[in-house]
Amino acid sequence: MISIFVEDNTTLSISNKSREVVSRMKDHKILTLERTEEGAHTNDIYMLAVALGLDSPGESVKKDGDSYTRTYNFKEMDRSLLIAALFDSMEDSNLDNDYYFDIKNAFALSKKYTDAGFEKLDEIISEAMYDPELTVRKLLEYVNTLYDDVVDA
Amino acid sequence: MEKELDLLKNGCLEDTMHLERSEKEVENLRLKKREIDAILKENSLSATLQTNKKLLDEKLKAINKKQDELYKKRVKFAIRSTILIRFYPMIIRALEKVEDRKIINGVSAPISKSKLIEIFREAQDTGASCPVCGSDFEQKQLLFIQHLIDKQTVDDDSAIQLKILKNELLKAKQEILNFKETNQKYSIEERDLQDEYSAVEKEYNEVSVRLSRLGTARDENGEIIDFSKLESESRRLESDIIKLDQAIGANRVVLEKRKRDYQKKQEEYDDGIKRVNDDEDTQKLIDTLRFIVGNLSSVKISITKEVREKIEEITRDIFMNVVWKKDTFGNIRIGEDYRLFLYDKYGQIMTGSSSATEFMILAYAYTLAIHKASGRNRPLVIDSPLGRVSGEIRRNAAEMLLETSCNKQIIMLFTKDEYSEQVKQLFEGKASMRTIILSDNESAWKEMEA
Repeated sequence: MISIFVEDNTTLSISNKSREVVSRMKDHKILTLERTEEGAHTNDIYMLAVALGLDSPGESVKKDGDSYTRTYNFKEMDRSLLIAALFDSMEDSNLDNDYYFDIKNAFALSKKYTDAGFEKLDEIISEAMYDPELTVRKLLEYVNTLYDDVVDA
Repeated sequence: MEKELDLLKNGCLEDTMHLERSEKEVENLRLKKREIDAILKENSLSATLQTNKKLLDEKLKAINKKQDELYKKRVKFAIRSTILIRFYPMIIRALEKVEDRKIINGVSAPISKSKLIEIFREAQDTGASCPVCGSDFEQKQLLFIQHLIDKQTVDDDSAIQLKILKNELLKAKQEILNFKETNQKYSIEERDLQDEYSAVEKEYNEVSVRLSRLGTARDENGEIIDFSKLESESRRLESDIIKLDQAIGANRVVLEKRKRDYQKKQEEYDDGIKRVNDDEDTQKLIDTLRFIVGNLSSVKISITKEVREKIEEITRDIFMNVVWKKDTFGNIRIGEDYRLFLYDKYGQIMTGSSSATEFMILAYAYTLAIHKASGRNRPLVIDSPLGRVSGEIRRNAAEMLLETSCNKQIIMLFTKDEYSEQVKQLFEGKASMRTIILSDNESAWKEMEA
């Protein structure tokens, strides 16, 4: 059965350019859950990049990039969000179509957003002068404005 | 590759030694602090204040821990909120699509559409009975099954998934709608913790000031105990211990990484060797060579260490003999990279806070120690050797240079003022040659035999 929630374990890659942003984040302990830990779970950061890049889909990352995370530990909610993006990517989506219930298609689509997402994330981090606490504040400020524009509007 | 392996291995060994030394040093500081704190505790007022201070310190640490936990929650919240709110328009549109199909609110999703079709066909074509109760289908029942099939627009698998999808998207939507409230809750928590921290910190500082203002007393042997001095010493030690602990932690991480690199390289090397040399004799030869290289590198490390310790010892002797402050300096250390560290008698590094004269003496001591330890008797040229010192130190330094010159040729370039009567008396008749150099202007020089 093709399924959104089936257990799978494929690799999600990001471009070398995005990898540089990840390295900078690690170096400055940006968005880490433990101050000494290497970083937040990679799938959270991956989803964050996808979310930030939703407006500017680019080329899907191919073999030139490094593998960044694996799909097996993506939560049901994250999978549902990616499926929602997949629904949105087609003008006339027929929900009986198996295409929409194959999570591999959703993951494949997500790769198109990561480059722009990491670029946006880098912008936020630079504005926060690579300070971990300031980055969190900047991100929350950004989300607060976004909430007013998107949810409250 | 062998050279690279050797470098990594030596790096690991040196880092380990450095780490062990730092751990020993921090242990000594802890011991010293415990001794001082024990004396402070014997004084009743001091003991009360010490206890208060300790309690306040624990409170500060507990608040810090809470702040750390809150920070982690906020990081997670910032990431999740950004993801969800960015996806919000898609969530709404996806929910609308699912609702439009009236899947979830229509036929119960777990009923299999394909199974219903199969039962219906078999009942119509072959007159098969109900697979659940075994009785024959009546026309009314068949019509109902037909109705169910018509109403269910997607197959059962898709329906189940859409039901889960809808639930997840509704949860996400609810989380988004709670954003402002949760964000405000975290901001308030953060502010409250900061206020609490500031209040406790203020109290802690007040206790510290009171402790540092404690007077003096005499111990059982009649010796004066200066509580304020001990208190500031205890605080200084505490801060040094924290700094050293942090440095040790960082060094441990570096060492672990270096060990991992070494292990990885060693495995690559071993694999390579294994692939190339299947021959048993060659393998034996390689093992022997490896054994020899291993031993030689240990010998190299121990010789380097011995030489460094010798230079350390000579530098310390020369410096302590010349320097006039006899009760200030404690030790001199030379690091693996040959950087020099001067410590005061409490073990505090003071290389950066020494005077220019102390620096000059330290530089001479170090230079002479290297010369001595090298075992090679090369001449040493020193420009303006006593220019920065005067009085008794000038005399001590001159004596040190004179003593060194008994076994080594030293060429010293003095200015007229520097070559004072005191210095002249000391060197006169002992220097093998004295030359006076005069200049008419910047570019022309005359040499005169004195």
